[in-house]
Amino acid sequence: MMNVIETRKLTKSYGKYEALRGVDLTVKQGEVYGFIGPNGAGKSTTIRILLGMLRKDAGEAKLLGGDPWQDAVALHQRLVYIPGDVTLWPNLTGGEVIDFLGRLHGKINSSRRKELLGRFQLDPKKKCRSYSKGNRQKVALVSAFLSDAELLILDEPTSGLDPLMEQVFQECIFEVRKQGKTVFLSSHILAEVEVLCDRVGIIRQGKIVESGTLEELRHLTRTTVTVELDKPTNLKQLQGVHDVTQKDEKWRFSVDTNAVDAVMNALAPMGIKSLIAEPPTLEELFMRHYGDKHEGKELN
Amino acid sequence: MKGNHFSGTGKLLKLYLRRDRIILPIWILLALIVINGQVSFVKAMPDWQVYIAELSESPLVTALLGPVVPLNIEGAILWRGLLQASITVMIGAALTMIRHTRTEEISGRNELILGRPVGKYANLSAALLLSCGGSLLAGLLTAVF
Repeated sequence: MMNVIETRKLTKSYGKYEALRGVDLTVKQGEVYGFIGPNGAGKSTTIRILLGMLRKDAGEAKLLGGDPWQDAVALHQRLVYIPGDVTLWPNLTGGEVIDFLGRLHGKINSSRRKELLGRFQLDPKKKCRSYSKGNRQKVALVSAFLSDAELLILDEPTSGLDPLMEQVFQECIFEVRKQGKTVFLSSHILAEVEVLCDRVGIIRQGKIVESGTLEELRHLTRTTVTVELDKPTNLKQLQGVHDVTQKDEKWRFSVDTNAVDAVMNALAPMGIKSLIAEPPTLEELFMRHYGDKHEGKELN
Repeated sequence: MKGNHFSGTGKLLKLYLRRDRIILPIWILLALIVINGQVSFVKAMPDWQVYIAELSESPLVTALLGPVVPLNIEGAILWRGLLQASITVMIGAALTMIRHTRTEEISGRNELILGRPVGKYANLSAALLLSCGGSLLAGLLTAVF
């Protein structure tokens, strides 16, 4: 399968500040890729380079098999982009903006336009200056889902949307994926990424610190176990067990993935009354990379 | 496959015309109004020749406006109104240019367009076409008048 987005050792600095310090990204055709990281990690800079708005300092960047800087116009014909902060022309109506953006790509499918406006509950006759943040975002989303581009690059597309609209957005993404299109979704809403994305890349201080499917990433971290035991014991001595807390007979701890088997064997003779094992959420994965004080110090 | 740097200029120009549907006619007609004002001003004076002669004796006025050419009532009107009218057109054109380039950049609206199949110079050339076109139109209207 073709790689839709491919970057190797991509770097970019603004003056002395290094925004990207070697970003390696691979997004395959037909997948929904979650690009996560906190504010200022380099998400938008990466996207801007991929869109040919910024020039890279060094490294390689390939988009749909072409060079994002040289072939920008031809490539943009095949993709659609929603900026993180959507601002619109105050004296035009939402419908006019959608039509204008659609016309830049070619013909507009008017029945699809009507359907999307209905689903997102957007009034296209209102002037853009009267739209709230969420409504402006909806204008951009409608225009994105209206196009039949093969790649969607979305920079925090759901900021400002209410939970209902977020649901609609997720449905639209699933539909788009069914059609075999690729989605590059930058976000810091982890729950959303967890639901939508096939693969995830975590960026931190201009570097990709982790990437892979959610299962692969989960493998790298610990499972949280809550267990109720009959016999008194001390679990702290077990290998691969961390963060042990005890309340009466209830124990709560986290286990390294490769130690699960040994720990379960050790627990079995203790008389397990109940056992709950929770896989790590994306949030825990994320916090592991960002909450680490030692690494933070090293970088400062 | 090198994309055309100017593709999308026409569509952008259309958008700008729509955006400027109120402000554009205003600055185009402003020149006309200024000249019109001078016409009624000069024509209302029975002794305009005396007035012009007096005025043009001052070296400062001559430095700013030059000699009265041709030396008749039309010449006198142009002599007084030309600089004012062209300044209004200049300001209008410059503000239009800023409105569609720098302001768009600051507000982030240009990102919406930059991600679309639009050439690198499309925005600049559309804005330039609009302000030049507006200036030309203002000039033509004034000339016809």
